[in-house]
Amino acid sequence: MIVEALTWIVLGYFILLNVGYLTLNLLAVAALFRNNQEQALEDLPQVYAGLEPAISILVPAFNEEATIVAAVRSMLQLTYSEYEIIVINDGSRDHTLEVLAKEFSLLPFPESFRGKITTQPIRALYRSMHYPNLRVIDKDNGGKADSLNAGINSARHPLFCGVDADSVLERDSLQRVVKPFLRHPEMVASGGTVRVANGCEVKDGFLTRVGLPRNPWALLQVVEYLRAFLFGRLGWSQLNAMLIISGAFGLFKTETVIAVGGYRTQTIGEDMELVVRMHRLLRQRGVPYRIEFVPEPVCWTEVPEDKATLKNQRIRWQRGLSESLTSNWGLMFSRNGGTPGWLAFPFMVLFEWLGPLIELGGYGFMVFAVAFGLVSWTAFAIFMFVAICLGILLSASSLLLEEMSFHLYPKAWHLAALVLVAIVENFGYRQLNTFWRLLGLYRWAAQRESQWGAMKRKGNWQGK
Amino acid sequence: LLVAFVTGSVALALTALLVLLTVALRIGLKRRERHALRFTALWRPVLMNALVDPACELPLLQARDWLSFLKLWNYLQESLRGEATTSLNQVARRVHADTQARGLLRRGNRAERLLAILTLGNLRDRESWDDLLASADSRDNIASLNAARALIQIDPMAGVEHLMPLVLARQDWDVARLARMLGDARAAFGLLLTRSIVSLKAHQLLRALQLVEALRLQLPAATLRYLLHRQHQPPAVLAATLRVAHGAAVLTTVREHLAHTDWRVRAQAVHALSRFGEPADVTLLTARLGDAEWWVRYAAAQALISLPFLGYEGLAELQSSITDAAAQQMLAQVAAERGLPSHSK
Repeated sequence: MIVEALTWIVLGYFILLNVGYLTLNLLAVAALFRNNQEQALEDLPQVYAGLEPAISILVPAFNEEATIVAAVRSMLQLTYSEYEIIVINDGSRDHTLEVLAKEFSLLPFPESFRGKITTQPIRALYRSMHYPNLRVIDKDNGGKADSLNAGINSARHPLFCGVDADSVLERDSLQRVVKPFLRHPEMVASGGTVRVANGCEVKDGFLTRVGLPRNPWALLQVVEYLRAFLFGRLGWSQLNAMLIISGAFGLFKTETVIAVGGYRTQTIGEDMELVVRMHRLLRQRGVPYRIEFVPEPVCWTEVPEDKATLKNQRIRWQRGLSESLTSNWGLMFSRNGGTPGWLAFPFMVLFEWLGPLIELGGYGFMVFAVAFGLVSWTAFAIFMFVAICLGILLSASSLLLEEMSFHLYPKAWHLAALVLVAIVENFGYRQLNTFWRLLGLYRWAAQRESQWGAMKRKGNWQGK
Repeated sequence: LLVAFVTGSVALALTALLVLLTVALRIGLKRRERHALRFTALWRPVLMNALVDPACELPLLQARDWLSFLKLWNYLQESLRGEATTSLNQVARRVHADTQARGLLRRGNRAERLLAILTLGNLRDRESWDDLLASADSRDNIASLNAARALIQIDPMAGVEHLMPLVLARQDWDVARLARMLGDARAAFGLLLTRSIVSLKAHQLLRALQLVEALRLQLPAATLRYLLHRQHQPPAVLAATLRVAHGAAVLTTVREHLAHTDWRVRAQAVHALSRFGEPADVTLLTARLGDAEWWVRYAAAQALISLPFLGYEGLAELQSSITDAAAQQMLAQVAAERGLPSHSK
């Protein structure tokens, strides 16, 4: 009897999880369909009147001497009416500051620093002699969140955009991601789609050819990113309940972020934590707001190509998720919680946060039950069949969304490879990922210290 | 078990269907791309030729090519200015694109309606005025904004007159885009807005003031004074009014706002003085260098450095006379931003 009940619970959980995702999928289909209908207008020559709000681009950098110059150079070429770039050197132990100083002719700048958010001590501020809109903050090491806070303190413009130093941006990424702010005065944050840069060709900091990586780990992540962005975030965005904006590229209203206290430094998931806290505090204070997702690809990022780095990244992500949710419990089922508090937050808790525990527990229970003859082999086979088929369905639907909307992977073999990956990833990779996330959950529970994630970069896709 | 098996089987069948659909979409896309290329290769030179010779011979336009034609035609319309657009309009009327677009506006799907709105606006098609008015009033913010643009293209004065309530009320209309399209009807909009601005509610007023600023319109001094003195005026509206304030006639009112409790208002009052302040305002601006809010100090330093009558020597004297460290630092920062030497102690 107990075994039967547990079997039903496990099966029910898997079905509920996938039904939830499929619902998000349908919402995303509707949004992309509308987006497609507007394509004729998007294809016209775009005229920008210079009335768009000015943007401060914040680039935290820790030991980025190899990539920082190319990154800043590409950012200086973005097409937008008015923006500034603030690089925050977070006490790098390599020559990040020196290469910046040499390449951009930095000179000390007597800035009256605005300490709205407390940060690690600022050592010096610099401004480029050649590019007046480029400044560099040199500060003691305090982590990515602390760097972003220092950047916010120094930002001159009403909107700021947090960008990872290794991100490859589309030339018109700012124009795209600012659109929600132009349509809705109550917009406080918007995020765009991040795609996998491995396998693509990048020249002078810009993407010149889209391709698929040959590395299997990276290839598996291409479909994962499609799933996460094209229907995960886009679906939630339709309900104004998006709980995460990627740290690789996100646009925020400076004043609102300062009002909620800036980025939380004692977390590794500072990007998600900020968005969840914004939902919680703005709802608590009764401030009308919107957070929107822009489905167009605006940013490309290098993903790990080896198991160890990928494992560490996933562990960090799960810890970040844990910290973001547990430090904002007040949002869940709160009186003014709305869709974020009553739907998105509980969904995240049940399926993303506790998901690894329940999923692996489910697999473990079924194996145990079969081994001890409590459940028949047939039942076990059917359980696996359902779990895997639903997983493949979700991945296949993300491919359909991509084909419906942006069809960025141009060749027929790209499509064939992605279909194959969508199937193959369900036989081992997703389970392995769940296991890593479980490790992340454990490490969060064990309260290990937060730090910048060390990412092994290959940069094979970077043009010379 | 049966339920589970059926769920799995349905998921599998759906997956197969989605994969087939994905492949079909890709095949369809490639076919459309090839057709678009062929169409553009034929029609682009024809339309370019028509720019100089509107009476030139035109190839036969197939029924299935209508959307491609309208896309290409609108692309050229949006890229060109002046007489060239008139020639393109003549070509469009010769192939009856106006009738086609009117039909699409009434009976087409959303994508077709958007294309039709764009076409009718570029054609300055008066016959579709009522249909465009209805579209401008629709809930679809993209369709409504484009319909509003089309109406202004057809008749700037009448368009603005009809659209004024929507322009002020539709918060979902992109302000930057709105300002660009109102640029064609700047005078008409300014005239109508000046008449009605004092009776607007706070949220409409804020939008109106944003447009006044974007279109560089000048509100009468009496209106500015009224808006700045009105009781319970929200700080955001006061700040927006100060952004468009101008002229000696409102100087006294602007100065009064230097001590406002909201820093955004103080900062904008300082900016206003930097635009049209008098030598007597130097003392008031210097005092703002000691403001509790960074942005007000920054605005004051920018203002003092920009004032035409202070001069290099006056600025040097001011910098060396200031004892407040924060004020000194701010002046030094703005001087550095402008590439001026700093005279701080």
